[in-house]
Amino acid sequence: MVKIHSRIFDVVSLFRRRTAGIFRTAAELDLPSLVLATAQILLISGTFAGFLLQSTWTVTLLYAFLVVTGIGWISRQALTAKVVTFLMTAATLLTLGLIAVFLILEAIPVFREAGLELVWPFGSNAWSVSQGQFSLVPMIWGTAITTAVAILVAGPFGIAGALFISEIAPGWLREIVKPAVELLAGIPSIVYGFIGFTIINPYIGDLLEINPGALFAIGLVIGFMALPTVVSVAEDALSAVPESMKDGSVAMGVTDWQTMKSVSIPTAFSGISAAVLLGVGRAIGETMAATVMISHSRRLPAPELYNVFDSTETLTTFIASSYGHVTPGQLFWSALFAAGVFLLVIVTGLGIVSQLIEQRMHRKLREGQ
Amino acid sequence: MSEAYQSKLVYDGGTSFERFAMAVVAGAFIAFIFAAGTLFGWVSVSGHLGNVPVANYIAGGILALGTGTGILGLLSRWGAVRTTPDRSAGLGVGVVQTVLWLVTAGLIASHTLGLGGIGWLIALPVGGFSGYLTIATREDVGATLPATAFVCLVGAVILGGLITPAWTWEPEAFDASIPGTIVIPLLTMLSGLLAGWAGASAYEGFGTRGRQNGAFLLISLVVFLVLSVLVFLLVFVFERGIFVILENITIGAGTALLLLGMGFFLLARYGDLRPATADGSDTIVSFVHLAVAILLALVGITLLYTIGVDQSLSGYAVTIEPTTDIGAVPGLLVGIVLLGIHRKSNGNPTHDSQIGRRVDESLRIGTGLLVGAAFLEVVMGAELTAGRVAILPTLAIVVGILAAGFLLANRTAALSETIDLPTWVPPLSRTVGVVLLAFIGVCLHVAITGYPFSLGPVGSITSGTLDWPFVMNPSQGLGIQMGVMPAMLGTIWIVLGAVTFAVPLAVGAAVYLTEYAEDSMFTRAVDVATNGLWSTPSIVFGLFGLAFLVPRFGGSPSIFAAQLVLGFMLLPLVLITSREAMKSVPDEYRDASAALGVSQWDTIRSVVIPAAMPGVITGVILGVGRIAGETAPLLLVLNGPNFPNAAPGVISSFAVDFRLQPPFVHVTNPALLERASALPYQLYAIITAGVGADAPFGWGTTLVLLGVVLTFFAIGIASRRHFRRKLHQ
Repeated sequence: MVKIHSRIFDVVSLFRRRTAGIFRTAAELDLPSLVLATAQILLISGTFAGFLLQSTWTVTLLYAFLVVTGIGWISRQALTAKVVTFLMTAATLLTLGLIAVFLILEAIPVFREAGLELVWPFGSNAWSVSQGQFSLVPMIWGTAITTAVAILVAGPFGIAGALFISEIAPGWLREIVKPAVELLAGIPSIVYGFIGFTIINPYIGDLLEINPGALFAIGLVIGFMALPTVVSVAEDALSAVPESMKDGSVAMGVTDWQTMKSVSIPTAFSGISAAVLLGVGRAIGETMAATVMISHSRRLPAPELYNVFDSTETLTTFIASSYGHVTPGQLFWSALFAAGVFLLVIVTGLGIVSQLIEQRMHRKLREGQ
Repeated sequence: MSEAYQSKLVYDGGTSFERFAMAVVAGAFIAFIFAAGTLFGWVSVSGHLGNVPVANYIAGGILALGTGTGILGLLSRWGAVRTTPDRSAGLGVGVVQTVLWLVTAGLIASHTLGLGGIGWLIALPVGGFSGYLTIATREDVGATLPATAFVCLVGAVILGGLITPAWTWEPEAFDASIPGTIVIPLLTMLSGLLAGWAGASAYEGFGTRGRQNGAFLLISLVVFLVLSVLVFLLVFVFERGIFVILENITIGAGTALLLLGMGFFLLARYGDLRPATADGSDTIVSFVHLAVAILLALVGITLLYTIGVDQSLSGYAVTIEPTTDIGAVPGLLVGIVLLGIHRKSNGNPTHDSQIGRRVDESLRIGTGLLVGAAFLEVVMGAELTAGRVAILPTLAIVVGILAAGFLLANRTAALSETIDLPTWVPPLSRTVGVVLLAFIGVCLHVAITGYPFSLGPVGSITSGTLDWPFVMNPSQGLGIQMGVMPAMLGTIWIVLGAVTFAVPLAVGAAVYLTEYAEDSMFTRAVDVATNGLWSTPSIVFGLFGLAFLVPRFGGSPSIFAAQLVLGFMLLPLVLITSREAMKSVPDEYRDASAALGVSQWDTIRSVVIPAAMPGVITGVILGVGRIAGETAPLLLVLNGPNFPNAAPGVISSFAVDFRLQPPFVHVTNPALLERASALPYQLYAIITAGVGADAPFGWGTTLVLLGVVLTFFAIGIASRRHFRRKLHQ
């Protein structure tokens, strides 16, 4: 209890100091500067509010902001620069907030209608708009299966690639492999999709006598697409391990491989797990390759749930393929945004968590030095 | 790799045991590649080779591999070979063998012997026993014999006809039939991996060095596989798409020569053409540069020959016309690029004599008039004439000939040792600039008015020397070859819009975060938000655009919405790289600037931002590469026709008008608020249309898209490498 009190007190005092700081800064400014800065901030806030409310005054306010900024740029350039760059930073923060708010707003109707049925796996698990059954369970399960297959490819292969680049490859080979992996990251997903649709789907369909769109094949393709992310993040983590630690190990007379196993990998373990997490996020969020390869049958795989040769739907392909068949305001429309909310929470969350893990590892390594 | 030791202290040649181990590794590698080849359909498993089924050859090879592996282990354990095995192969190998045998025995017992679920119970002790054997025996036995047993078992099963290419396995849970034609290669690959790993371990005499060798072999194999998939993919797309793209190209030899010349010049200017003096990985780069330069020169000679014999050259549906005409637009492009390079590499000369100053002044007036006339023509969009004389070309000819005269004089003087030029002749750099400017002026004139322009028999300029249907045609129309023009323009507009929207925002935010802000809740929140945005799936951005932007801009998907959405995606990419670039500007720079009494903002403007510029630009290029290939958001916020028949006319539909209602100044552009296509979207449209007869068009589009995106990536990666290296010098 006392702890919470002191924590609150800390925050309050910090806030008070900050406010006092702002007042002091404001008091130090001369009158025109103060007016200009206030006008800029008010006008752009007004523009933003107008844009949100779809007001006809939005553009006028924007013009006014531009004019005031222009005046400020000529007469008080340093201050204007500071205010404008601050506004730009705030805009970045605002973007993520806007994305979250608008997705959730649009998703509320279907949550209200279907409630827990949306994600409850022991119900009918059926998606049927005509019968008013909205269950995202097949899509979530499809995403889970493709992601599992993908990470079985991207995880081991990615870590092996990272080890190869940072520890094994001689200099000249590293200079070839590293850019090549980065180039691999650049191949657009629709290109994989096109190859998957025209080559892989028919090939696997003929070979195994199954319908096109096997989750297994999609997982393989997605895994290959997530691979470069895993390699480059894990490679960053491995090369952050201080040379002195490895030298110490080698000085004991052990081999490079033993050094990797008992020094490099354990030290960089959190960074490597961050890489795999990020890879999982990439695999979950991957859209186009899966959209064009999958069958879009919104049911659980049969005859067994783990049948990776069957096809279903994933959260991303659900959104990409349904848009165009729905009109705003319908429950179906709202369900798309519900799927979007899941993706946002899971994938963005994974991205943030993996970033935090990575930062923590770097901080620890710095402290250890 | 620790750099504490780089070379072996003792090297004792190769023993026959090592050579035998090497042979096993090589055999395993060959088996692996062969099996991969059968998966790709290059080799057929079900065929016959001289009355013996191919599968039997494979089985024989596998058996030989297994036996070889076994012999390695036995030789090491009981033979006279000196190796350094540990007491045990280790827990990791034990677990792998346990799982391997558990699955093998389970599948055999439950399916082949038909015991069902009980089979797996029998398999448990088998797996446990083999795991125990692996761990409990000395390393050389534990690492080889279980692997040998498995590999030999595979060989025996195939040779014995238990698994033939015609055999199928139909597991009920999977509702699929898995044929022998895929099981045999997969088993072969697994056997190859096991035998190769054991052989590599034996090569170094087991022990820690042996395990290192085995592990490195597997890791290298993984990387090799990934890279070969990359290369295979690129080659495959190239091979399928290149002839579609090149179909029916007609190009004038003069234009081709001009473009080639520019390429050659750029290579000579920025590339490294001397492999002998380069070192490290630069050697490879310079060899590539040299090869490209030689290729360009050879093609150039061919073109000159074509012009010389006056015969058109055609092959692979590409035609080269033997004209010396130069297309106006390519000429304009080349001229601007060359002028840009030229201006960047030269400073302003100073003149000490009276006449020199006068000559310089008159040149300056001439170029000023030229630029003015060109500007007027661009604004008017029509020819500028005085009486019956076209002003721009006349000016260009006069100035150009004058400058060319100086240029010639300069070159001759430089070549011979006897001639001394008077000092008033302007220096080479100046005259080259003027000649280029005149050239650009003429090209611009032709491009705007469409009148051909000729000067003597050699160099003449008309428009329309290049006809490239795949790039210049719309994707739908009566009796035309399908092209990607609308999609390409769509992508260009979207990327331009995203860059103008996002890059200033991102750079401004980076400036604030690195230069002004102190570490606080706010900056930490921005950090989290940036990372969150970076990893947010693209389809979520699309949904956001659909819910937030589309209703606010006309209510239907549009280019403008797509620009903004992709801008939001570009924002974190550029922000992160710009911040890194600004952080890596040494604090000494800022301190030095502050010590000179420069204010904080002026320091940022004239020290920090210029120093961080290369990093920022690299980030922008990589980011553009990423968003140019992005499709998912475009489905939701662009959603144009599958096969558009016209490109969006964005420039021509800008309109400004003043009214008394807010916002008083109406800037409108209906074309920006229309649905459109983009390169990745075009590819998606082809897939939704079912590919079918459009497959060649699809491969062509894929190649163009891949080319555009990977060019951005390659430039970004190369420039980052270049600037990092500069920073570390």
